[in-house]
Amino acid sequence: MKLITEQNIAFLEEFNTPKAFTEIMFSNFDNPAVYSQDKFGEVRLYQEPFLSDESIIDFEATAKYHKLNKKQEFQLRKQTGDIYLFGARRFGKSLIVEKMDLLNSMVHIDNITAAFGSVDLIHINEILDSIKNAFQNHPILKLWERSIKGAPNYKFQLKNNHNLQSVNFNIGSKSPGKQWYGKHVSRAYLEEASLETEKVYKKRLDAVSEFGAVIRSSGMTNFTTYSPAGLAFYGKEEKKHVINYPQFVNPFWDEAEKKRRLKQYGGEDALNYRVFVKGEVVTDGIAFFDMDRVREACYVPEIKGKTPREIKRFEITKERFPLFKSSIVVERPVNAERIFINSDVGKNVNEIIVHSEIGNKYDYLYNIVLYNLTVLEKYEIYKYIIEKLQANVIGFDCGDGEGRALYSMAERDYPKENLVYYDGSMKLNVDFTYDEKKNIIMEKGEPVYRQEYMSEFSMHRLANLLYGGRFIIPVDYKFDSQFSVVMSMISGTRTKFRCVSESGDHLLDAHRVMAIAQWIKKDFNTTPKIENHPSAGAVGTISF
Amino acid sequence: MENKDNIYTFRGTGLSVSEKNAAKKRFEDYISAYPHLNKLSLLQLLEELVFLEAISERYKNKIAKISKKKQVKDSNVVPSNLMKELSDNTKQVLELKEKLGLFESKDKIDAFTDLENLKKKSEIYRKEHPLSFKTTCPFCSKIYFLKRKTENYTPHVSPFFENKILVNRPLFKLYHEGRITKQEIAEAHGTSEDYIDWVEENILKIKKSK
Repeated sequence: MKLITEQNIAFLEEFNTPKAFTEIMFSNFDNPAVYSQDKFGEVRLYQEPFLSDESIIDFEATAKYHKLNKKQEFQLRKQTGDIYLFGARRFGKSLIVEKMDLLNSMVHIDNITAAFGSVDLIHINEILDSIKNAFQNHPILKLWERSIKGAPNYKFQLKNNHNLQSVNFNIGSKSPGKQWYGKHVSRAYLEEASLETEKVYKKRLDAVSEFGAVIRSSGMTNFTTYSPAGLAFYGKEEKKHVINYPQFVNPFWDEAEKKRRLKQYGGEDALNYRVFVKGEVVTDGIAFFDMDRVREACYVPEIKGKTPREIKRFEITKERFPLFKSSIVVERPVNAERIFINSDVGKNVNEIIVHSEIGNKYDYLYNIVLYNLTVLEKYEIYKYIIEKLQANVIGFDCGDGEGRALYSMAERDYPKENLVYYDGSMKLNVDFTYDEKKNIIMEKGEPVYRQEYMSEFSMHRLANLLYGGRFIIPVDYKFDSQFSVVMSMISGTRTKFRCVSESGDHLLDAHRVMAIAQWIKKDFNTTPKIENHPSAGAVGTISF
Repeated sequence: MENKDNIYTFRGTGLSVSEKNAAKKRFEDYISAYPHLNKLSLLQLLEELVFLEAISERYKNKIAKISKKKQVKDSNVVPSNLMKELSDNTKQVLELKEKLGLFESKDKIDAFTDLENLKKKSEIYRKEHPLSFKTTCPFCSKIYFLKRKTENYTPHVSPFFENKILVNRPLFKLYHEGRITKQEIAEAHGTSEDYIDWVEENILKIKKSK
């Protein structure tokens, strides 16, 4: 073996320094497969703590000096490598904590098994496709390639015996976190960590090596205090590894971007602006839905390893409007007793959901999303769907003008008893009032009702229906991601609900309309028969 | 051997049993010597290569057999058609070896091995010269070791970070004294100007009237 030269030592010093390695090896962080001899990437100043310093620290020598055992030596590594980066959008969280760190650690840390986990395959692809591409095409990195398998179950085996596997949390499935089973990793990357559920977290705890695991976690602040992300954020042990930034740490944040975000989220005090731009943790909110119960009660199960059906979703933009009849392929199931069509009507986004009533259950069949259509165009689509499905109950969110316009158009074409008018600020009958002997109180021959605001009652009804397993919900990541981050906050005497999801809250709102429609047209009708509410007949051929 | 995931099974179609055995051994030798041959397409090409090499052997055996005949022995030449076929075959072998990167890839493989050797050497060097890599943590005064020589450096706490959050108090002092503008302090931090307000409000806890 030849002697090591000063030049060799100088080379290795740069090679082992995370910032130098990253900037020299990758001139374009978005495409790490590219290598340039005269162009360099840039890890911004604020991003420097996002990169792990593990590759520059000699843990073995440090452990030997302090007479530490292997487990204690690993703790040194963990103290160096752990990170919980929770913050706003677009300042390079995943880019540095995960993507660039993976490229760095996979080359520098030999003989380990690591895992990259995220809520669904889309988030996994986003990072690991790039890593795969880099190890197969970067002229230097490809020296490490031994065998690489791509989606859906990524598997990287490098020549230095660094093995990396993907773990899809499958949040929207009935058994989330199943892929952690049988793994013993000493390094875990968690993308969109704020969405990790307790079930997944518990499975992850069982999947770490006997010394533990270095945790590289990044996500937004749309978690609640007692979720796994919340516990990490406020945890005593994790405290020194937690970093929280707003979007405006990014040097490219400017007035134009601010205007765009204000318009998108509706003002600086809007919850979504506080979370997605300011990176604030909303401490006064608690998660409204117990999603583990919802998944258990309502999600279509996996039978004999067969993936359950996915929700059928149709998206109609103004460009696709002329062809909407060929785009929206829906039919009334033969076993449907009634068809419920409910919608959240927004100015730009209109979310329609279709449920089929079978006995006491509601099968979530279709999700139709309309983007930037005029009221007349929207109504044309509603009419088509209503008639094609021979709908029985049609509910509109009439909180704003467009919803009311659609409702009055529908009122002209269909019997009023088939329609449901939802307005969160209005009250609806939720029960009768009773005297001390539990008799219904009557006034002028009419029962006296107890009333509640639709906005609050719809959420409680929704929770009851979900926990009672009254919905049949196919695989739908959008549904899971919106319902998982619904927070309730007490405001005076009322409770406010906020959905802190990047995909918006329209699907949740459409389900709130559904909960009210179901209450009015089904469950409230089955309470003591004081009067016969007009039963809802089907539009078209079927009637009850 | 790199083909341990059995992504490809050697068949040896068109070869006799003895040729097939020899070709299979050569196929495996190539895989061991050139670990980059781990993709299906490369392994298919490799089978073509060992096939052509087996054919080459056939030609050579035939030439040897003919050479034993008296008239050929006397003339001391090899039939031209055989020589041409052998030469064509060799050309194809060379082309395939080129395509499989058996010439240039050797350098790459060596580059990886070189780097691994270099890492081992540097590990030995660090063990022999621990003081050159010794560092004292500026926060807790504990000793630890780097993989970078530290003898010419002094431990130093970066003025730019507080609990991993970007904030440079001396610069903020200058900013509050009006000696630098908000734009300048933002540029020095490498952030937007709104971040400066955010630091004042959330880190420095300066209350501002809106």
